[in-house]
Amino acid sequence: MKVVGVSACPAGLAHTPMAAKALEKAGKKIGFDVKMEQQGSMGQVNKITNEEAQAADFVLIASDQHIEGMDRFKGKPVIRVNITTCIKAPEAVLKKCAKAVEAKK
Amino acid sequence: MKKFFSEAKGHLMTGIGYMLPLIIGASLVVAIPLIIALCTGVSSLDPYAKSTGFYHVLYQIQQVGWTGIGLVNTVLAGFIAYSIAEKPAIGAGLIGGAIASNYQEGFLGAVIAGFLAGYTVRWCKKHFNLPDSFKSMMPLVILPFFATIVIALVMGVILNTPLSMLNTALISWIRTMSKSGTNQLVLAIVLGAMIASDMGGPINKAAWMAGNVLLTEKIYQPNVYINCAICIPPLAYAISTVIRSARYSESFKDAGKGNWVMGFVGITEGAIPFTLVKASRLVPVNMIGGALGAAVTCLLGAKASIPPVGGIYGFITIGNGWAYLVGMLVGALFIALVAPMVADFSVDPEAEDETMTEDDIDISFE
Repeated sequence: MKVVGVSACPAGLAHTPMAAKALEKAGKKIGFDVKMEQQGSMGQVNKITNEEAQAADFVLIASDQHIEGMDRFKGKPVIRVNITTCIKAPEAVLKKCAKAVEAKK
Repeated sequence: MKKFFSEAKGHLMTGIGYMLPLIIGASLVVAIPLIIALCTGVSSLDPYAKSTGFYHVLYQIQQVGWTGIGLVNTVLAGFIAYSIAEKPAIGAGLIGGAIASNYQEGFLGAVIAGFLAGYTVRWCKKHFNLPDSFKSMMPLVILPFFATIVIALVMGVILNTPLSMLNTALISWIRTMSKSGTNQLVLAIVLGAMIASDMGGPINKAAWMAGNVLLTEKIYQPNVYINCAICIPPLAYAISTVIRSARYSESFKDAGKGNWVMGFVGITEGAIPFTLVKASRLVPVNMIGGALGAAVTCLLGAKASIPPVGGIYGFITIGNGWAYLVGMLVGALFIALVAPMVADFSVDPEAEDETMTEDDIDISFE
């Protein structure tokens, strides 16, 4: 399963990198290829390219905020999950999203 | 409806996210010339408005900062609108925010204006079906026009009087509250607890915003309590990792070092990794610590006659600055001692919350 995503929070100091790291780590553990872009106080970090976006099975937005560059993900299933949930239970989030995407196909 | 509100909260937080750097930059540019003046024995720069020389230069710099603070409502409304409906909505949002400032409709007015501009554009996008030859005019002419005319009608005409009355009443209520002793203590406790509750989340930002709004009304006192409470959680965990080091794992001790800096400059978010270990117990502890610190600061009589600067070093902008420091220390020590008793920091933070299963997670497709 290839996953790309974006994390963002209002101040962009703590939650943003924490969620991104938690998801990437959980992805490694369960064999998902996860790349998270951070849209925090430093602007876009670990940016996802158009090619990467189009190669992904789904897009995970760990935020309830406005995300820059959503047009990259056109045509892909985009799922929004609360950012604190992603920090607390990243593995379960990834699994649940993957199942939901499979079910939609 | 629930979805609408959670979405609306997201837009509000986006607006605040864009406004943060503006207000931080501007308030520092207001504060630094004042600090320089205070250090040389001048307590206000206003008398130098029309003179020349060094203090006049400081005055000029400070005025630029005030201009920035004056833009707060404008930027907030503009970027709430942007968050909802992107580029075509920004203009109307900015206008609505500026109107809110000019007509004394305040922060509340700015939020309403932002949502109004954004949702107007979104509604028009959905319901206007123009022939193809006119389609290209939509984002550039039609959408901005409709959004702006709606702002003009609602913010400029219909809500103008009620909102400005409401806002003026609110401001004068808080002004009296921050003057009387008992009420002020209540204010300190409430603000302190709010700031330390969700560290950087909506409740924290609501209290912080209230302080900033009051700043633009030249009411400085609540900001003393807010700034004090902001430093408390990160400082508390920094202290705790030192005085109770046996209770902390290596990675927490590392995080504790970072928290000295976070506490020094005033970034509550530093305490998040600690709090997440056992949020159900640590959030109340943090809130009590924040409230306690703000209350002590209040009781010892810290007084702000100029806009207070955040962070530990902010004490030099506050009359009876020692009260600010003592309050902060009391609040931080409370958390530093109680937190290791109610939570176990000896395991790594990476450990996941096993109690949260897939069924508990809400996901939504766009």
